[in-house]
Amino acid sequence: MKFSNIKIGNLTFKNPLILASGTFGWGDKFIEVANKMAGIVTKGLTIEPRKGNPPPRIFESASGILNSVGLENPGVEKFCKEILPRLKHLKTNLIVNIAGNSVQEYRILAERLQHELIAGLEINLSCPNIATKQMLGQNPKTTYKVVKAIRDVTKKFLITKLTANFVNPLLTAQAAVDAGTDAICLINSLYGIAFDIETGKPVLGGISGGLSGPAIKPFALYCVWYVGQRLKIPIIGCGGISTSKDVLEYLLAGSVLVEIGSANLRNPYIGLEILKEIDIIGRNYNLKM
Amino acid sequence: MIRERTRIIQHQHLTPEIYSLWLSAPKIAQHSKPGQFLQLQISETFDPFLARPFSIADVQTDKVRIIYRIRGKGTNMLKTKKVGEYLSVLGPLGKAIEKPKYKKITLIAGGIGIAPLLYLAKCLKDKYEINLFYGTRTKKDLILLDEFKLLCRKISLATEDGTKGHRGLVTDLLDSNKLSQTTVFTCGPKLMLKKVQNLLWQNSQIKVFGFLEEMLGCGCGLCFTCAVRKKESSEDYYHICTDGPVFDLSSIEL
Repeated sequence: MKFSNIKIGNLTFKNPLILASGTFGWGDKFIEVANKMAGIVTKGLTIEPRKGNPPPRIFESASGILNSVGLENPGVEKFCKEILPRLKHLKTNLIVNIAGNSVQEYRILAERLQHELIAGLEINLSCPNIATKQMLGQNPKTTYKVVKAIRDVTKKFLITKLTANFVNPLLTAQAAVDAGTDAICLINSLYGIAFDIETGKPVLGGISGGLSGPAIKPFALYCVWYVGQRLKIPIIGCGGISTSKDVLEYLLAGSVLVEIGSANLRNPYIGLEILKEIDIIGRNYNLKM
Repeated sequence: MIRERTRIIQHQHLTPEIYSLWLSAPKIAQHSKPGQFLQLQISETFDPFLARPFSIADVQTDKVRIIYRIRGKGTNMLKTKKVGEYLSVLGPLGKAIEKPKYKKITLIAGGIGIAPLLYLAKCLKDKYEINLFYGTRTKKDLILLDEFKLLCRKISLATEDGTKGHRGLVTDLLDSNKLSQTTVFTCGPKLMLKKVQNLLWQNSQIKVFGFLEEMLGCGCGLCFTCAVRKKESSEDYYHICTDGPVFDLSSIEL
């Protein structure tokens, strides 16, 4: 099926599917999958290298995953010098997920990436696995400041990835829109924790983690629908998308694009499988895509 | 790595808790090497959500074998699969083992850790002298002995209840002095691996490689969840699925 191109800001997406940050490495594996997608968002990137959280970093819950990777990454300089050159042949929108602890850190990251060959930035305001008292994305004011600081230094396409952890995402979405984001992504993983009843201790090395997968889909879908009813901004739906029907539900709820996340861990070829299926299902239901 | 729809061609229990599963997987079989593993998608629904990693226990022309112990939701579901049913499998994953440095090979297995050592022994038997140390809780948990008898010069057994071989742990049988100029491969519980790792500090003329068995996310380098601490720096990590699952035990913190 030839999907209609989806234009948002200065980018064109060839279908509605994007591979979510943290679930497809740096984009240098399974290239045949990445190339068929509308975009790939790389693993969260910080200014300095981060070793990540101590293991265990993953725990499976009912129809979901708790993860506590803690933004393991080589830092922006090494990324630009060693990883980006390997990605230059990708035939899809390469979007770099950036994470910082302050407005200033986000600005520095955006400036550093401004002239690199990437399609855009995803502003990670919502990683539940870094040890700050509050995520910058849990407050509309700090959300605005971060997005504005980035917008001021770059013309790149901007996605603001928001959290729904202890905050009304409508308020932070409005702040991101006011600051000039091109799109918002709803939602990042939810807070979660699990205990080992034999040791009495938390299962994850990072103590708490982020819950993702089908377990969070109805809530994530609600967030997309809720914000989509009230704000005019392109929404990228994310949360538990594992089948073609999930994609169509997100489109019905008001997403223009979706990010496939945890399902890539279950099956790295799931993006290709979903792409084939939405073609068939879309025709059956006479959906426009 | 390949994702293949494999057909179950043999599935039988070796003990009430341990099963042997042969899958018809021509493409994966062709590329599989000792030390590597497979990710089996056990459930078509999303519970359990993740695929499950299993080491490759044997390979024949167009089929691969895994041997597993019932542990949780995934393996309980897997044991109900019947011959003729299909399973989606990703593999072969992880690094193959490097060519052993010494001509003498010692295998040390604890419990179900015997599984990957079978394929390894089959691949090494023509050029190396192989000895096996193998421990389980009790006699009836000892599996694959007939196959190992054809591959090993000597087999030393231990059971915790003393129903076969040495009464106690398999590591009780190890003497670092007798393992000089030997390459050791070990797989089993973490506590056992730690004891085997200690041999290294007693004798520098031993190379010890351990097969790690941990919870994995993707199994193929996408999610960075399977971290294992590097020995030299307490803050640096390897990833089991891409750097392992077999590690030189002098290089990691268990």
